[in-house]
Amino acid sequence: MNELENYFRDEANEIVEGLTRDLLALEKNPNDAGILARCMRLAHTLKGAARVVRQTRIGEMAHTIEDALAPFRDGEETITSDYVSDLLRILERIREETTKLGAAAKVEDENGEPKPTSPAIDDRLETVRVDITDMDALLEGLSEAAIQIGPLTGGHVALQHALRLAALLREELELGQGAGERGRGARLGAALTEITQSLVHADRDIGAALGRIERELGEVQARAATLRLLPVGAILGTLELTARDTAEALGKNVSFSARGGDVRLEGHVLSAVREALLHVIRNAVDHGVESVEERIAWGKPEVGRIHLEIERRGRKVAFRCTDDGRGIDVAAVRQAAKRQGLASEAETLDEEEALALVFRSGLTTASAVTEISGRGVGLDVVREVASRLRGSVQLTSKLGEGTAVEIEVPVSLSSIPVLSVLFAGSTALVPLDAVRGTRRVVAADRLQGPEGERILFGDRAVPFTPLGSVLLPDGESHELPPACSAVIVQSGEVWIALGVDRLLGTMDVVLRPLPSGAGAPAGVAGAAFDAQGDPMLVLDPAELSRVGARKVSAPVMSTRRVAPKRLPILVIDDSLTTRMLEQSILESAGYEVDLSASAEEGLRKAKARKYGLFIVDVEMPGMNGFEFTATTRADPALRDVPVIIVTSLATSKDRERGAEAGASAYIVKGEFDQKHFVRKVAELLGASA
Amino acid sequence: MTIPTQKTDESGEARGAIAAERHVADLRQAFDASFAAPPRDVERSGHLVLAIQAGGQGYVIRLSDVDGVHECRKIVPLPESPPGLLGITGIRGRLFAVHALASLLGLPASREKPRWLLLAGGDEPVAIGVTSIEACLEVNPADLVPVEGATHGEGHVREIVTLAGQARGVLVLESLVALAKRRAGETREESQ
Repeated sequence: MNELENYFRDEANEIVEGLTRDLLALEKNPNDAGILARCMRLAHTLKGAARVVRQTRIGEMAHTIEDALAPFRDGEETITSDYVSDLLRILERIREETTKLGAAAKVEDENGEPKPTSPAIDDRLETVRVDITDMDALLEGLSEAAIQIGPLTGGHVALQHALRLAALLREELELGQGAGERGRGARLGAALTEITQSLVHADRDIGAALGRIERELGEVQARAATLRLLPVGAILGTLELTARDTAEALGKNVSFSARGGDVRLEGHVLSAVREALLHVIRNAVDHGVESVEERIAWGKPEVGRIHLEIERRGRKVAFRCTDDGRGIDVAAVRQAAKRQGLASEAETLDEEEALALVFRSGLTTASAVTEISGRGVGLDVVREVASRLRGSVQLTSKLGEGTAVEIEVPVSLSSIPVLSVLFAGSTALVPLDAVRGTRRVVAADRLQGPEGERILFGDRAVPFTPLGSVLLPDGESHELPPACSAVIVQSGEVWIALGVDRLLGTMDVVLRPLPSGAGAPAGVAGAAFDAQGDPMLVLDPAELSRVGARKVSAPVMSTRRVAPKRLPILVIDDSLTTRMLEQSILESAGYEVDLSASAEEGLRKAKARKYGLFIVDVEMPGMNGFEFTATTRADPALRDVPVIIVTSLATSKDRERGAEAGASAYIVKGEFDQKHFVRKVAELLGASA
Repeated sequence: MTIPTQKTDESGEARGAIAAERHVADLRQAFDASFAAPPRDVERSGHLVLAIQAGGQGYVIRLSDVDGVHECRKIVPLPESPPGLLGITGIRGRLFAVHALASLLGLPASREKPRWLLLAGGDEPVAIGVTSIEACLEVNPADLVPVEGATHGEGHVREIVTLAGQARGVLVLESLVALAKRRAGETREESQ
């Protein structure tokens, strides 16, 4: 309970400051409807929050302020400066009360009477408000520090290696000692002993220190990370209390349940959402849930049910609050809107639009204003919060059955459990909450069908897609090993099995959105960092299911194209521009290209790797193209690789020289025709394959 | 500066010693005098620039336009990438999209990973990959000659500077970053 009170104190102080500013602004701009609405929202929020922690005095004062502002909302009367001063005085009293709250909380004797205390300490000094950018800078620094441990560990390993070498050296020394070398041998031996001792000390000290640093740093990082993210479950207590409290005040019977409290979000997003949900719940209890008698008359259970469902959807989190109350009377909404002049064409609005009106400031269908709501402020807060967080809010309702309010917010950081998989040499992460299972898959398990491959999972035949077809850049592909693994993922109705090289394990990661400039590729929810600070892609199962299903049903021919792998081409030219130009042309035609700046380097590369074709410039410092051609023809290992000579020398004599040297084709730079070039390449590569 | 030469005869030695003493006195005087000299006019000092290579061509970038220079580590490619978007990378615990500078300039881009990443773009920065950084130099602002009408590099070059006898375009990073974001399908306005 103390934690809630601390929360409330901070919140109250914030609201009081905000209200003070806004009331003063209102005094200067008495006709500004926006400022007025904001003041009312703040007062309304403070009232609700005060109720939860049973600070009735504060709650009543906030209530007074809210009531006092209401008459000015329609703009017919203008608020006066004196009036604002009165409100500011009430605000001052609220501030006094909240300050007393901090000191008084801990000093009460058995009768519950506050004992006289020393002057109230400003408890706010015990907490610090931190700018999120400062927090992020801290986390970045920690990341970098953790990464630097890597090279340190490497150094330590080198140290241990030196130690081993010293031991070996010593052995050698002892073995090789001849009679006359005793003296010298003894001196060397002594030196070696000292070196060894030094190394042993270093190994011990560095090894121990390294271990300690790693542990400390790891702990600091973990703590820092949790500062940024909070489990949604942290706010459920307040929400439940609010539901009970509101019900009690109105003489109704309500139960509150929630699911999905494990989702972790940033603190500021969570506190804003909590604010909105508080209003939704109060509204649900007040306007939604009927009185006990009414419920019995309708054949509903006595106890009204309010349920909160929290679900992560890709880059967003949805909070869905449902009640089984009386639902929203759309007709009444239309009438109220018309009556209050909020919508002139209210009669012609369809159900969805009419329901959306419920979020407008000032709208209320309540015939009587209760203590809790009815002033038309509550749901306006919800809309404002959703908009502030760049999210959305949606309301659905069925008359007589209940109402559902869904707030969806994008999250920039959230912590999720994932399954990490190895694919094409790198790690990819699949959110665990979408994974239904995994299994080993061998070639025989992959059932070919008209719409692609499938594998059996339990009693389902699930479409099987290698992860490459949805994740690799276009044009690249990766062959799965003969025995691979499948991750079976479900999103809604769609099931899909993703083929990966290997499963690596599960872990919790902080999911980060893709940065600006990376676009929004389908199937990628974001990225997370590995221990080295390099990114790993986090997949989006919902989109993967759609994309994968689409690609599986596409003609299988596109993946067959790669089957016979073509040999690479070696381009040798001393001009960087020419090298890059040729490489560009060849790579866009789908070939793999290696480059050399000289014939000598080219010969070295040709010995290290098997090429399908050499493309050589003639004029180069050192060995020229003709000489290169002749040399390779003379080498039995290389003579079968065709050579294309590319040059600016255009005389027929030069062509003869080329042919004599053994070139298969001669292309002149001045007449460079890209299509001809590519065709020649294809011809020669095909011939040698 | 006269280097006292070794002479074997005594008079030569004496002469050498005197010359050395005089030299020391000169140095001392020059040192003292430097404190009396007026401070260098800060306004007339030049702009710091990076001389870089991209797509086989040499360019120059104002250091003040760049938010950071980092060695390129691992780049993770993304599916459905527009040309030039090499992937994403992590720098100091933050994610950046990497775009090859050569590709943004419309030059033939090498498939090799860039050696250096230049960060630019203010609040939402992007990493621009550069094959090599040749030097960091100071240039006199007067040597930056504005280009008449955008001819080179599609408007990303608005000035030319001559370094070691070679004319190089001075790249405008802001427009390059905007191009990179446009290629990634991100427009100025918030979509949805």
